[in-house]
Amino acid sequence: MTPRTGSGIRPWLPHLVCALVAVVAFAVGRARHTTTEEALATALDPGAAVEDRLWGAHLAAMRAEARDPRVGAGLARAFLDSDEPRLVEFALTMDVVRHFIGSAKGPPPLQAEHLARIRTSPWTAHRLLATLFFRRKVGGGAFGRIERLDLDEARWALDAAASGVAPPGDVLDAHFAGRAARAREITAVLRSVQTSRPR
Amino acid sequence: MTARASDPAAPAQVAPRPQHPIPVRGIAALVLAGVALRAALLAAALPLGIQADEANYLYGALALERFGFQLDHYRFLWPPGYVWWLAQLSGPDGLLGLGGGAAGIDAARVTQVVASALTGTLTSLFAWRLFSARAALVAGALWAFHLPLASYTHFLFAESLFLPPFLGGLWFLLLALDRLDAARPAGAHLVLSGLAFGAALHLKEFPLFLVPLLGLLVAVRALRQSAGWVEALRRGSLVPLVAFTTLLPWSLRCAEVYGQPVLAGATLGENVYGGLNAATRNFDYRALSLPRMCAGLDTIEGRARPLFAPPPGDPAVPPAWPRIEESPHTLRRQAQNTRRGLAFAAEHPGHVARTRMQRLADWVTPFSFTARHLALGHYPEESSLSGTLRRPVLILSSATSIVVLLCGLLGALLTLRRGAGRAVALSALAYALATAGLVSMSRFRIPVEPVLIALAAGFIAHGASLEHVPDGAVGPRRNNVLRVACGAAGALALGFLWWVTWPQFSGAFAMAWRGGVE
Repeated sequence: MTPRTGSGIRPWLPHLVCALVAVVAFAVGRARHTTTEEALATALDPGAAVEDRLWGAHLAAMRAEARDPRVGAGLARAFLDSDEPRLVEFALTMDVVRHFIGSAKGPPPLQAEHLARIRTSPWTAHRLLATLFFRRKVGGGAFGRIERLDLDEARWALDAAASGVAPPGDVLDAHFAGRAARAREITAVLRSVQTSRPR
Repeated sequence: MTARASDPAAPAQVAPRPQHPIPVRGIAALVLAGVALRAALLAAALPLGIQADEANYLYGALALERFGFQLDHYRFLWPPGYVWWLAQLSGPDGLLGLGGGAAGIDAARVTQVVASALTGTLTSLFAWRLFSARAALVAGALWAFHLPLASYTHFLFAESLFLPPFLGGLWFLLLALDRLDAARPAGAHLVLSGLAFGAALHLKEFPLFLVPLLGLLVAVRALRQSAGWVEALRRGSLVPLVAFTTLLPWSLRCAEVYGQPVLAGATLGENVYGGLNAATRNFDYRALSLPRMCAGLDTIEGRARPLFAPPPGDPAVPPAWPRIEESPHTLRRQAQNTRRGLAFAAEHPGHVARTRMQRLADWVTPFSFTARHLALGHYPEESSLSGTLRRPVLILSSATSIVVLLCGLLGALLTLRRGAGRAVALSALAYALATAGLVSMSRFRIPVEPVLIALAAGFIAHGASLEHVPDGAVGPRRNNVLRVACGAAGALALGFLWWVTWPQFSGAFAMAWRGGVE
């Protein structure tokens, strides 16, 4: 029993539409392609729009097949020295940090120094976001991470990103001191378990 | 024209469409009850902390909101849908007046409760299509009170939003096969199936290889109906073609970012690291390790039977291979990790083979993320879920898991009849089980739990009887004996896997019973 399927081109119409969509999509993708050199130049251009600089940095950081000092040092330094909060925060994400991995012991130095520098300034939405982007990413200490976001941090961060408002400084100080103490406690437990485990 | 089971001229694989009406009111009432239960659970669970991947999803949403594009998580790249949804709800104005900033977190949970109505409806419809109106009502009740599934509506995982389009894809495929069996055109249904699978793939990578396999199933059925190679190619290619076309914008965006396209996501390398390596990792129990170690207790993972998950330090355990960390390129690193895992498997086939048994046992465990939350003491202290309801919830969640798994298996082996329904349901189940051979935990069962519920409902409603079951031809008596033997063997195998996972399950269950390590 064979279903009625019609004849000619009509039964293949959905296939043709998909093929047409694919052709158009590939053509658009090709026309809008940015080379890595162009992306890096845009990212480093202080006159370019912030959105373009961020996207350029994203492309340059993600395409590289080996650690690229132009991203890991040059672009990280340019972004961290910028007055634009989003560029600073982006330099603290894994996109840029991945270009440090294995090059030095401990967390990526430029980013760690930057966080140490802003630690003495009052809490703002930017300082909160910078801290969370650096300390709550996936990965271990070599990436600058200490634990994952908790619910309070996620709420504060989403509010900070949406409205530019951070919770009171004493609340944040107490929270981060508590999490740091908890992280030290966990590290000590894990170390003691590792040393007592039979090899 | 519809082929009938009693027609001796009808080919055995031809399935008649169900003759019984859909119990619309009954299904609607049960779906409403299920949604109400989920809403009550959500109300009781708030303010609910976040765990592991939930934190990573929110980190991604925050980055999308702040920078305007999605970041990967270095070790893996998730499909974009769930992070996008969280970011929409957490933006300055939220979405359609819902959410906005921190309120977006709970708004996402509310949308998941609402979306579960579709999951409940489709689960009942599957049971109706595969078995009967009575089975549809049993499935609706099972779905409504199956807490391991219900709990995902207040977790920040993609599962609750993934299930409606995924089940929709299977449902439209089933309708298409019914129409093709009845010699009616089914192009629109195949297109709808592809669109639904495409939407699902934007949320979870799970059906990435299932979609082409289902396309193959369509093609094979076309060939068995003597439709010819060209027609088989036309029908079989449509679902995957439409599904992957919907992924094109994301794939091409990834091609621009990484220099190579990505279909849905890139997590295989990380899963290979966890699955084809020396140690056995199961995130049902791993999260419980830290509080236990802090309290000076053993880990739940360490209780595994050494035959199937030998502990670290055991001479039988080959040395573990480390993740590649040097390359900054996420996709290259994934590919390298996959190669390392395959090389490990080739070098230590015995270790890999016996640890697969543990993976299968982890997949069919009656434990769940609901129980894990209770074991972690993760619900708020003042919540009834941490107090008076904790033990009833634990008992109910474990009991319904046992019922769904055992009756689902028996429904598949004893009650399900030959036909399009069996082909689709068993393809999805077999595929999910195959993925569990790599990495496993109760969460990886969630995508097919509605299918298991529908099968369980068939068994509960009809047992192994052949009456009331519309799908396919009734076999001779010896076939029944063979089926019963298969059912008994399947139940024994499931019992054996529960025995394998008993040390971990019982330890974690006891922890949940106490509400933590205290």
